[in-house]
Amino acid sequence: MSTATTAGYSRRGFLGMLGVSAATIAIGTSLTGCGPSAQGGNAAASASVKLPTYKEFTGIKPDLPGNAEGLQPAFLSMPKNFIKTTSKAPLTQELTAYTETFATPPPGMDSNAFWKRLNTALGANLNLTIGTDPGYPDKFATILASGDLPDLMWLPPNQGIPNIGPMLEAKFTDMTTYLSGDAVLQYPNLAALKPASWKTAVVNGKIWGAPIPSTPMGQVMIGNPEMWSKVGGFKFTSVDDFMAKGAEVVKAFPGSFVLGSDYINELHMFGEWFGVPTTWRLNKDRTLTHMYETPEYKAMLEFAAKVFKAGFFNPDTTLSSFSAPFVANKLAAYVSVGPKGISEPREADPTRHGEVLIPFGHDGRTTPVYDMGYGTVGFTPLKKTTDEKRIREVLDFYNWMAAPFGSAEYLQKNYGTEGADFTFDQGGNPVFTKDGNTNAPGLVSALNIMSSPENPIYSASFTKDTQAIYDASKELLKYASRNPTAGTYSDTNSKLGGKLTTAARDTATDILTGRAGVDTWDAAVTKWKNGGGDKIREEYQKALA
Amino acid sequence: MSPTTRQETLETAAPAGVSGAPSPGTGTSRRHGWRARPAGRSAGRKAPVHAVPFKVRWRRDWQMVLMMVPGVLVMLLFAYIPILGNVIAFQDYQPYLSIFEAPFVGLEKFVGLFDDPDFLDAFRNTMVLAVTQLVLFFPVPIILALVVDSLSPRRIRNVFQSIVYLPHFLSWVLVITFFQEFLGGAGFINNTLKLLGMGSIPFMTDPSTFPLMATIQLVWKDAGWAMIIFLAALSTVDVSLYEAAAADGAGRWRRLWHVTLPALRPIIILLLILRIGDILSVGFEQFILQRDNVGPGAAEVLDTYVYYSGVIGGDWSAGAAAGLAKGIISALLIWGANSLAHKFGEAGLFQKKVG
Amino acid sequence: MTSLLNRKAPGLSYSPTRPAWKEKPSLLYSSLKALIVVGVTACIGLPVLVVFATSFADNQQIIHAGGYVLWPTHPNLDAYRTLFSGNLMIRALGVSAFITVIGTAIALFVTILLAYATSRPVLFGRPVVLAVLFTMLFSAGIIPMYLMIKQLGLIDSLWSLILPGALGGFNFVVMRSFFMGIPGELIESARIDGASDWKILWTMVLPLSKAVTAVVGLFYAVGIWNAFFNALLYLNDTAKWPVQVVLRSYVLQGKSMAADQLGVAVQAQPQSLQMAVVVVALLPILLVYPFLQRHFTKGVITGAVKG
Repeated sequence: MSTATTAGYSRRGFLGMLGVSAATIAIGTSLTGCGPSAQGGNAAASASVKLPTYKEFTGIKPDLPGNAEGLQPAFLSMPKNFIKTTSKAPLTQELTAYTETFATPPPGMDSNAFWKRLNTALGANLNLTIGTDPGYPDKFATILASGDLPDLMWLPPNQGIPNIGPMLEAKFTDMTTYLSGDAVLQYPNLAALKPASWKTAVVNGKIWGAPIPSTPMGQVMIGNPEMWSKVGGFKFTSVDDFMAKGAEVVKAFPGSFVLGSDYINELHMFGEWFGVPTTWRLNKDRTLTHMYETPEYKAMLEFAAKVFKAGFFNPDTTLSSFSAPFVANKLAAYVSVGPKGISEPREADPTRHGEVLIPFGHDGRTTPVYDMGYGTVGFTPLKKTTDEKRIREVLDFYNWMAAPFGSAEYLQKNYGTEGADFTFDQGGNPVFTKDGNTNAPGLVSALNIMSSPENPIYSASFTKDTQAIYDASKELLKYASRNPTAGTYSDTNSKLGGKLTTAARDTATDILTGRAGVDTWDAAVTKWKNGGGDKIREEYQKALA
Repeated sequence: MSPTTRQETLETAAPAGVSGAPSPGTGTSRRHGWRARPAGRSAGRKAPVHAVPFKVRWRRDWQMVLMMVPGVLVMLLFAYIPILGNVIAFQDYQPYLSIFEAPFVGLEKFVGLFDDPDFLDAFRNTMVLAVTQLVLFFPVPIILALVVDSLSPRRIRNVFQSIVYLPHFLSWVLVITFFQEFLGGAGFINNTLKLLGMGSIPFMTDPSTFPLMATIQLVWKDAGWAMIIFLAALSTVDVSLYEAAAADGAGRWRRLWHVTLPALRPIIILLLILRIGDILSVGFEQFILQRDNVGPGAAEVLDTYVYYSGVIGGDWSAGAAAGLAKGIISALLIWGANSLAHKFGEAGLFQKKVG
Repeated sequence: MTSLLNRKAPGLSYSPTRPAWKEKPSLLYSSLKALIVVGVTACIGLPVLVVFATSFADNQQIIHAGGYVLWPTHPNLDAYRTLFSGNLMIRALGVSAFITVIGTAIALFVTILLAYATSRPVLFGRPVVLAVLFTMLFSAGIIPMYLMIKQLGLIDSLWSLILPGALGGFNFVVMRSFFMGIPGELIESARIDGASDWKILWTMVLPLSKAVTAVVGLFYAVGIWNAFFNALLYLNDTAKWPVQVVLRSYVLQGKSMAADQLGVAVQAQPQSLQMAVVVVALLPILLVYPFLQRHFTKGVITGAVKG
């Protein structure tokens, strides 16, 4: 029965879902497209640009130090001295931006005291158009099409915004000369952003803005300590060990399941045990092999089907969060976004936490792989302009917003002004006041998605987990592997990547659930190759040659 | 009310099969006495319409034409002019280019959607689901409306109505979640079966029974809401017809057949035509959510197929092409269904030119 | 819809329990009806009850029960308190109330006029009807609509949520079909008496059309109340966001896939809050529908007696 009550409402179906593409995008795949005009030539250009010089910020010492391999420094409490990293307010005139919030929307600028104080610190009004999820890429497209752009627009790497190369060339400002090499030293907070992060802000051989670091770590399997402690702990020597212990856990906790229903993420974990490469493997002869093509992947699928047959998976695929069954001891493990998943169960029950599974070789001998993540949430380019003064002002703005953890600017951006927006508790951690709680979180979320310093491991509410997260990260890094194509761009991947990945994942899920046999995988790989996979490989190879 | 008018109204309420064959071709004029011809026009139905000069028609109708203005304005501004934007279906459009700058690619986008073998699967699934819905979902709101209408105690009737439409306002995510809580592999029924030592039944994960499950979900969610429109239709039935029928000795079921159902007939036919026109849209969110449960072999429908084929890669043109193709097919289906309705003596959605 | 008027027959009164012409129901018939009513109520009522119950339940009970509870043992208003803290929800409710009331009134006005005008053979009638049907089949994309809204200067204005939907194809078709069913003699005799079309519509036809006006009004109101996507696209000022967008932002806080993928720290909201969101979305329709129900009752006096 048609219940279309306003014109076009029922059609909104598929068009409206444009924003919800994250679930189908492969983890770790770089998705921004590059120029279609020169076949892969622009991808090669990206590889040759000189990245900004890296100058580590040493003004504030972390409690637990990081390292160059990707270990994030950790703070057990907020540092006390809040040094200023900038000498003057960056803005002289209003700056507009389009960004997204992952909290409830904040009160508007005119009625938001926290926001007004931030504007004072910045020197002029920061006027944000705040979007929410889903819908960000749609609004992005409509704003772009209208030609009436705000100054800045946050560009997420995996919400399905395509053809980034030509789009940036057409509508945004190239900032390479202001940031490449030593030019960045004028902006010390930007120089403190790591080269791996900067790579994600390079398209067509040009730098388009400051990257927004999130976390370098990739997905991990989080286990339920209360359940696994009954069978000897959350570590395994081989997949047979895993199967045996899993069966025991379910016996010890009747009505529970070993694994969550997040099939694709679980396949990702299995893949790590089988040594499947991080999306692509760069061979010695500089050619690329995609993970789908490797025998390890097929072997992993066969194992996955066995796991499903044994009834390990929770069959409830619309579970939005696994915390509830986890703390009820009905779920033994699930996949979380990173080691910080240790704190995740605390949302449902503050006394419970998780533990990280360090990947192991499936047969006890193979070296496992730990896939590192994309690392940033994109960058925020400036709309096309030749006004040098304006460009420098925006760079100062980037610099201010990327002030490192524990600095005065960081405090202002994330917590506001002491007394009015927040107070310090006994542990020296900032806690929002009532007004602060109303005014700040929505805005802070929007600010942090469009700009960020390198993030340390820190939690104001669960400081005891910080040490555990740090230690787990150290262990995981032993097997760290990164996607070799990160930072390079393939136009075909931007256009067809989503479709190809979905098709392959569909077959993988069919094999996992037993709807199809493992032998159907070869046909799926051929389909992937012919449907565009080979072309994508070509483009990436040219870039890496 | 004179006996003659009562008799006349009773006769005209009867379905065609009972009170004689309908007059051919002109459809409903037998039933709609309002088709009184204005003075000055020839009495014969076959008289050519253009015999009435424009000036006369304007003088007669100008007030009505004025009434049409707001609606036409809204349509022009918010439907017709933006619909022109569908020209991007023939281009390779990107938002950072204006529509005039985008390169023209002809039918490439259309072909691109259809030449994938997965398209046939999606099409087949869509048809299977549409037919299942038509057979199993469509009658339910009507039956519900009849039940509610026959509930005499006002309190029960009002409360029942209010409960039954509520699921329409729940999101599909919530609806599927509830179904899984009850029928899922870890749900109530299967847990009970496990406790009793019996095996579990794959309600939510069996691809072969998926069309049935999807329709049951749809019935649960929307039947109550769809019932409202039939209730409204039932409320307009003249009570005296029931009295007259009862006086003539018609029992409950005969009254249903001769008074109630004929009263519902026009709205049923109307909604049926619309449903047939809409047959290519069986849903989107409902199926994306269950794709992993039963696999795309059973859950991929045209809308999800288009989504994964083009929309996900930001292919605006492919989305527009799919919309255009759907629209054309829907138009053909509606025209066909409407013509069929005319053959059964119904007014349908629109009539041939009748002055 | 139907070709018949609704009139009160002289000498007979319609009693709320059982009218004189209805026979006493058989036991089988009554039990069958009772079965259907109870069955359907249980099937639908139970999950709805769970939604309400979970919104009032405390976290401990929810976790223990695995996500949903049937009846809160220690009911509290925490979830609702969170939802209504700050002015966000109140303001959004105000915005939604405004656009729903005004929007429905405007939409009904436009639709009634057009439906009535095209329900008789009239100049331009057929092309206009076909034009409306056409808009039901082909829709404009987001971008052309956005550009049009921008052209009209309606970006960031609440009117962008009201005006585009003022003529819904489905609602128009339903209303027109009903008007077509009103007997022509009635209209003709009024015309002969010298009444203008406008007067006929407002003083005669509309009072006979309370049921369909109620239904179509309900459909429009629900459509506007549920506005989400258009609000996101056309409204930049978050202070103007209607209720659905604000509600969704509460629900999505814990589930944003984009954020999860990107490693952004998000805090999952307790289940009770998510259920409270659903309840708040349901309340308006629950409150409004009883007022419309009376129009769906058989035998309601609606108007003129045939001459």
